[in-house]
Amino acid sequence: MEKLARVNFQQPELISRRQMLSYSGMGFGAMAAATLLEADQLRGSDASVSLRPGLDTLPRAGHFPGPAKAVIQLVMTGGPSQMDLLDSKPVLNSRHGEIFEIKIDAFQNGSNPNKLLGTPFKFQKAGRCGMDMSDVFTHLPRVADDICLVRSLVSVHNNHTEGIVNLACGKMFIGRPTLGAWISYGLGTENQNLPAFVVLRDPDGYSTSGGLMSKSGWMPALYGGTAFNTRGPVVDNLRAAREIPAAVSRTNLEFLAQLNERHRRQFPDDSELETRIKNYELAARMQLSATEALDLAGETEATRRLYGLDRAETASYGTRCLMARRLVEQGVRFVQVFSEKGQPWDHHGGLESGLRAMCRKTDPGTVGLIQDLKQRGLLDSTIVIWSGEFGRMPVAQNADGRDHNKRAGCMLLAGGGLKRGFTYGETDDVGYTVVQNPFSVPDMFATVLHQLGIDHRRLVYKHTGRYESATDDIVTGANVHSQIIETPLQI
Amino acid sequence: MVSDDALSVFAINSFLCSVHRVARHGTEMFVPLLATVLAVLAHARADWIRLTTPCQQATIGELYMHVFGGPAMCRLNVIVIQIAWLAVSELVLFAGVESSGPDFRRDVVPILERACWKCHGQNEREAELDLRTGSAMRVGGEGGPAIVDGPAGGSLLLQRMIDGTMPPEDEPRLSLDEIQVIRLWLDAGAPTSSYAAADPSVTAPLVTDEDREYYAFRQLVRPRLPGVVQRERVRTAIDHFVLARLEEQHLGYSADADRQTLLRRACFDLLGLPPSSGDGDGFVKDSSPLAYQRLLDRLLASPHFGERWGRHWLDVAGYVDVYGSDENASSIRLPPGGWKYRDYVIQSFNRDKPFDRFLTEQIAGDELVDWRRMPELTEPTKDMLIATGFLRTAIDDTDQGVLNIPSNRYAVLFDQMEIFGSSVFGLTLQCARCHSHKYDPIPARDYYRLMANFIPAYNPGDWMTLKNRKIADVGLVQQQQMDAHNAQCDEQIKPLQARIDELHQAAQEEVLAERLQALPDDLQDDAREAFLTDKDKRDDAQKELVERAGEISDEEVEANLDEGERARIAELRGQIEQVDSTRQAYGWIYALFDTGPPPETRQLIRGQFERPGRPVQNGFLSVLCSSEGTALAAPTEPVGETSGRRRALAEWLTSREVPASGLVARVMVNRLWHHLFGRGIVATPGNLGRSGDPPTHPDLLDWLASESIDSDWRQKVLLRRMMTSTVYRQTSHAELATSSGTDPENNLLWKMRLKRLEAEVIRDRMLAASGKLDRTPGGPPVPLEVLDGGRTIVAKNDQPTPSSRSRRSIYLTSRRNYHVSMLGVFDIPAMTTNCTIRDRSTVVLQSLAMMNDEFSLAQADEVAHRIQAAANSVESDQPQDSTRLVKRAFQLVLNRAPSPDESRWATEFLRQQASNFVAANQPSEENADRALSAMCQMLFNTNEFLYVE
Repeated sequence: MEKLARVNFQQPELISRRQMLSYSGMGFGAMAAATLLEADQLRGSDASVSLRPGLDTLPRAGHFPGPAKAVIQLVMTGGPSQMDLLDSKPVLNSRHGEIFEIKIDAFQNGSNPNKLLGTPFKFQKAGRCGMDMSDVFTHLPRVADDICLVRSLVSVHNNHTEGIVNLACGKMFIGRPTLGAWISYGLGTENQNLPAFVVLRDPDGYSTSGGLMSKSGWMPALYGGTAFNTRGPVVDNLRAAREIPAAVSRTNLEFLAQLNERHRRQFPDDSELETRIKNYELAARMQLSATEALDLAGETEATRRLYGLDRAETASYGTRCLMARRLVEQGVRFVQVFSEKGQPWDHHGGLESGLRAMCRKTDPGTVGLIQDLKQRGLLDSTIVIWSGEFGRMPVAQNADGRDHNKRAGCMLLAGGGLKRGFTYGETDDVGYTVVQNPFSVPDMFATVLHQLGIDHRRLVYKHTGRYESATDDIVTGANVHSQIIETPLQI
Repeated sequence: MVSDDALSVFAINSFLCSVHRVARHGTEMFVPLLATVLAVLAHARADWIRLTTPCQQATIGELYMHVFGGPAMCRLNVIVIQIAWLAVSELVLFAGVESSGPDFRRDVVPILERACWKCHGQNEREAELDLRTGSAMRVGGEGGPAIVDGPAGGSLLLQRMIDGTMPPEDEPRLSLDEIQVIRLWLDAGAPTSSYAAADPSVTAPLVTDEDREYYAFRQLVRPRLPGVVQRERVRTAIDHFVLARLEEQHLGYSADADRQTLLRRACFDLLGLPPSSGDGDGFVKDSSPLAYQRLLDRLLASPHFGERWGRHWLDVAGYVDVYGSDENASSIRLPPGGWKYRDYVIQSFNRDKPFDRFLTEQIAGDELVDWRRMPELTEPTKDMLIATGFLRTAIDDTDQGVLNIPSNRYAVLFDQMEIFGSSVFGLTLQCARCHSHKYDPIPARDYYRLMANFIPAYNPGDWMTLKNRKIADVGLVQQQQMDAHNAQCDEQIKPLQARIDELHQAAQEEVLAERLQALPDDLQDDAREAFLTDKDKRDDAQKELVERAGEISDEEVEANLDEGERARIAELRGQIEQVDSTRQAYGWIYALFDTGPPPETRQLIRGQFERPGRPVQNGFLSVLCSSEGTALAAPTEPVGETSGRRRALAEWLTSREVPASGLVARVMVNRLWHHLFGRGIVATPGNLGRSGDPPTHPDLLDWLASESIDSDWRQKVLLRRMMTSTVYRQTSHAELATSSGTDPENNLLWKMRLKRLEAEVIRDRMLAASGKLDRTPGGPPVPLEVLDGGRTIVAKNDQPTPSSRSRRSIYLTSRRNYHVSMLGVFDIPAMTTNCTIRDRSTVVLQSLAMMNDEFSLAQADEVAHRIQAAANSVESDQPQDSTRLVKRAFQLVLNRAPSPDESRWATEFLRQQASNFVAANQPSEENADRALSAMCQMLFNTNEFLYVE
């Protein structure tokens, strides 16, 4: 019945674009509306008018009220190992060293002779809910009752780039808009002095294919992620490259306004010129707001400690997590945080020491963020996503590592009306393949969008003649997983 | 109950067929269709199953697109079809469970794919056996046919599986269930056609004559000029077409733009640079009626023309200077000689190389001459090889061992096809990779026919990695001679160097002996060994010993040589140098060429390389051939060791008898129009298919396309014709324009459009204003520097000359993702494949960059210096006359004189800023300069600076 329901549901959307516009009123994005309108025009007549969607990120309501307002995506590039972190596999441990009867679908060499590798870590029951997690996490147990653990993440490809592109875009094809772009397009953003979609990278370098994770694809660049610096000035060119006295700046802008106004009168139909004039005002506002938004000086000692800012090892990632909270607090819609440059969770060897190091560095930041959001009452309206692009193999690679595994991985979700202290999905005895409730990246998109009040099938953007959606559910079969939602909405 | 296979297959086929017809012809087909569906459903069992295979899902998805993504349909149809849609999903679900025997595609292929194809498939054919298709299995390999008609037991395929010899021991085992599936399938006669039967494209005519009538595809015929009323505004044939459309709407042209505006417009459009004083004076003072034509001729002859229009082509070719996916900000990887393609493009535009020739060289330059056997490569031959860089622009990461996998190899091929499609055909060819195109009459078969032309060069089954895809620029023959000669040099040097080493060694022995003597006897042997061990290989004890005795420096050894030895070494070194000086060096051409004989090309089901379908012959798009029969390439006599397939492709594309050339010409002229008028006659220059925008002036498009072919495909001729037309010469100012009337969007061009300058032009314009622009043409790209945090700037150090930092933007290293910040904010494309239309965003980062970026501030300073220097050099009673400074600043930055208002505001501005600086306690003697610089910077920041009027 599930399929039928899905197909059935699409009828009203296709029949009544116009109706949808009318009941959504001014609520739903002018942008999305423009695209829909264009659809009507193209279908209804052979009019040569082709609207180019306007460019703005003004806040707009979704299709229905959703509990979440913002998203923070914590990107654990490399593929964190599920059976060592969050997917307890006693059978795997007891069969350690045995030859695995299924010849794994290896990506690299080094996994012969296909020997099972038990985890070097102990699993513990955490929180009142008794969530299974590895003792390599020293902080995570504190928030077990606030998070939803998905043990059934499935990816599409065993290579990092494809996996990352899939995590970012819901499909593994480069060129599609990323989740952050879709959300910015659909909902705009609350604070017009800041971008809708902000990226916080490791200042020491990009993570593998990290540039692809925040693109707007074939949507206008406006919806793509804006990278804020997490060390030094927040935004490039926010301040002049040399000191300019305030009075000089003021006189500059007054003169500029005079010249621009005269020019604009010659082209009264061109709204772009007006936008540019306004942008100079916004630029001035942004100088203040972006700096303020990310000025961590005012944070208390306790907060700084909570995020691990007091220790060199945890300060870098912790700073990004704290900045993410600040940005969400200021009304930014989507914040993307990278754990570390390169692919730090990619443990083809040295699994134990590697995971220990990564958890030591990132556990305080992640957990601090969830706790801090909660204590500030922001967790109910903010979804936190923690995951890599895929999971890892149950067999040993290079003696003490694991190869990439698209068939199973893990993801943590928190906030925004998602279930708390809940464990979802299951893999086989050794964690090789998902056997229950497979949760694909498009499923994650559908579910997250749903919590934001967006029906993933109805948020569309026309590209090369096709109405594209964030999940392309026709092809990917994406579904909202209501099992992990606290109060599924009637839609 | 659907108890009968025949019924379900019949029902599905007729339904699919009907869906297609409905999508094409509308409702009249619908009633019988619905009746069929309902009849079948009446028999249907009421339990549901989930769709299981991606293949079925895909079929449904495809169907869905046919129905809902197709051409315009009335609302009622949509509703009715949606009901039927539900019905058919039900039906297709049934088909999955109801057929009795295993289905080849659904049940058999996954088993073979997992267990057999690794060794008996695309990349390897162990025992000459290919198990990918029924017919290949019937042919079999060294052991005979893998399958034979009759009971399953007679087939080698099953025997090997049952006796356990295949798959071999270290490969995945087959379960009994899987073997049973193979047995049942063989018993049923090993049918492989189920997919084909369900694929409507197999039986329906793939491309009809009606399809060939679409405006972009039909044979090009030069349209007659339409009559117009306002004949006095007609300057060229182009005006007939544009004016006639305007007059239909009771509109007319606006007034001509003034000379200054026209001058700026022509300079930016043709050169991407502001008018130089020479251009300006020449034109403005030339009172002849031919002054404008002479201006255009001068501009078209400028070497900067190629830089401007070459950039447009590099965009559609997807050219960047780096190779690979360029994901790491700090790693900039340049292919050997890659930049030569950029210079080739610029030169081709400057020489006005006929577009057909230009295309032919880029698609098949390596197949036009037998370069492999040439004793040396002449300049024209080199050019032809460099030209194939056009087909080297797709992301290729296969040089990284772990990424050299089939999916990535195919990705290169697919991406290059996509680029080829949108740049040459103006079509979204890539859609037809996984399924027949949803909008355009391009069956998947045609996609693969076309792909077959590229596969001999990009053969995923026998892949040549990026590093080896290069040709020595002296040719193979000379390269071999030179390599041999250089090897000989090595041989000659070896004994000389050995002699030097000997002398050194002897001297070192002496020093060492002294050192050892200073040590206690029992340590001497160990110490000797420690000294003779390589520095970085010594263990801790050895290090300590060496330290204790004292490391021996080269100088010490040198000092220990006697006069004679020193002279001898000097002599030997001289001899080595002598030999070294005879070494022969050559550069590389980053080209495309066939790497071996053409492999078989197969249509890939759903575009997946793991699922090869029927074989296809190399050929063309059927819709662009006058008939089906001409869509296959005729065998040709190749020049040299190459298949000649790309050459045949190029010939087909450019021969005027074939409809293809009409599309190629339409796409080309539309692109010229797009750049001159800010929007193409078709507003989607990368998509002239049905999902693109329709042309605003279809007849004009055809006229221009015919004209281009008749003018020997010369683009300069065409540009000149467009720019001498009244339509181009109109004003863009509202107060001077005619009333907008019925066309507020200005689709019909009743006035000129305001065009935002591209990123490169904005940067170049600033440099031109400051006088710092280094106009050196060509050569390796200007290096970039990535700052902490990923910000990219033109490298401050390591430039060939100090002024290299100020070269035109086209010569800065172009990357896929990480652009020079100043260019990045103004929408220089992130080159994933290619770019057929630039974004024109209006974001705050642009204002911040113009206002605060170091580059903007520095260039403003330079303009101020330039003005001051000029003012000081002129003997004048009033060197500080600010009106003259203002006038000069406007002239340099905005390329016009200030209006009286502006002059007043600016003068007041200078006075005010000077006192602001004083108030801010800045050293007073520089305040006038600072104020002037601030004014120039504000002129950079004006909207006017970013647009061509």
